[in-house]
Amino acid sequence: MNKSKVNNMRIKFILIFLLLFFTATYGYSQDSQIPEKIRTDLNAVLSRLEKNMSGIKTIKTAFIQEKELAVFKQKVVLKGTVYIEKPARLAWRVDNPVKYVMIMSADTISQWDEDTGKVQKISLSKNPAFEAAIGQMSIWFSGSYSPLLKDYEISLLREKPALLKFTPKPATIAGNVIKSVTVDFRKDEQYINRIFIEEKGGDTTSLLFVDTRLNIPVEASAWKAGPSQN
Amino acid sequence: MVKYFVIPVIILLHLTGCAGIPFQKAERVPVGKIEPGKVKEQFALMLPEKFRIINSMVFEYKGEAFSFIGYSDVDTLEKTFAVAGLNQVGIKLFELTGNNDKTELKFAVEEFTKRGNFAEAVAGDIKKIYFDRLPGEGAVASMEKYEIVFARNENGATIEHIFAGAGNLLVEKRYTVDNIAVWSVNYYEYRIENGKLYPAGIILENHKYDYRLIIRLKEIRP
Repeated sequence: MNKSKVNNMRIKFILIFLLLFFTATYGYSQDSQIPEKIRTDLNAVLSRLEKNMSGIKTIKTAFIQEKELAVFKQKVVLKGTVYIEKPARLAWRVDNPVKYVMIMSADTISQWDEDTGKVQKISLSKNPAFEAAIGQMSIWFSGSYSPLLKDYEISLLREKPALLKFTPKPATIAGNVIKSVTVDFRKDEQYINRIFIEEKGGDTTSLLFVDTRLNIPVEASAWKAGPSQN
Repeated sequence: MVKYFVIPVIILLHLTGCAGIPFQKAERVPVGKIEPGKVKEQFALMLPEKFRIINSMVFEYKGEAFSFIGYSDVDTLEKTFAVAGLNQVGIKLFELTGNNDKTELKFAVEEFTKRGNFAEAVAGDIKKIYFDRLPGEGAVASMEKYEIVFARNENGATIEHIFAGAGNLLVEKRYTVDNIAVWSVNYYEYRIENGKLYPAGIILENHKYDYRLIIRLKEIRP
């Protein structure tokens, strides 16, 4: 495995991450077979979410990610903090069981992990697939879902606070891996409370956001790919 | 004058792959007059037969390092295992199960399966690290000042188990053919959990394929 192959591998792993957590939850179907009433409700909910999230410029939230592996029937729990600054800045910091940081900005992704102690930078301009995924991600965090008409069936499981279930249509990228994604919004619908992903292989991922703070100044150290300054 | 010093250092660094050891080595204490059989017996009592652990792992190869999270479910008596690798954001990289004779790859991202037999390579490393941590029947013990070495010949190869440090615990397992190291596993910083011994650090060096796997214990599951 030479350097470029290792780099390509890293790029693909980050891309899988982006696809799983962000692309999967972007779109909703405008399927003509959906009854008019449900479609109207859905459109109303999505418009409301867009409006509620439009005033959010920065987010700092702790997360608890539970990955249940079908083979083991055991959960691997990852804990950390996410920082978001619109339009396209994101820091994903894992504190437990390992220390890891991924910083995404408009043109680069930087990664650091405690075990290797190395920072790796990936240019987005050289990776169009990444650029596309990041672009979609920024739309997701902007709350403007309307332009994101993707290949998903969407069910409104609860109207308020919104609980949405996205099922990828067959023959889509997400459809090869994901069975469904359920997105549960907080009471004020200004941010997500929990994302639950069911994969086709039987694994599940629950991503619970706790201690979420909106529109607070994000400390400069949050955007540094390195050990936590706290 | 300087070159006489620098050149051997460069050669030495090259031979050792410039690889540092991120763990504390076992304290060098004289072995004393302990019976080798007793050392093996005591260690056997402290080894967990079944365990589920979460590790962080770093795979080093040709100057590159790739880190991930490993989940291992091992039964050393039945010689079965199930392992999964996840990246740090929780994306599954691979998953496989197996026993001493057979391995089943349940899942692996495409990058891992492009070349060679990925499943057998991972299974081989798991077996080297967690199985047969006790010297086999017929192993010959030799007492040295700071260590006890059990050596056993097997199909033209020699497998050695080295016990050292306070408590005379397994610190190294190595496999050589014609006195040339093929692979070795070093165990560091043992800790006791529920009356059993778990190394907090493990380094597997595969000299044949020139890679190194550094394992840090993060969690022991009930």
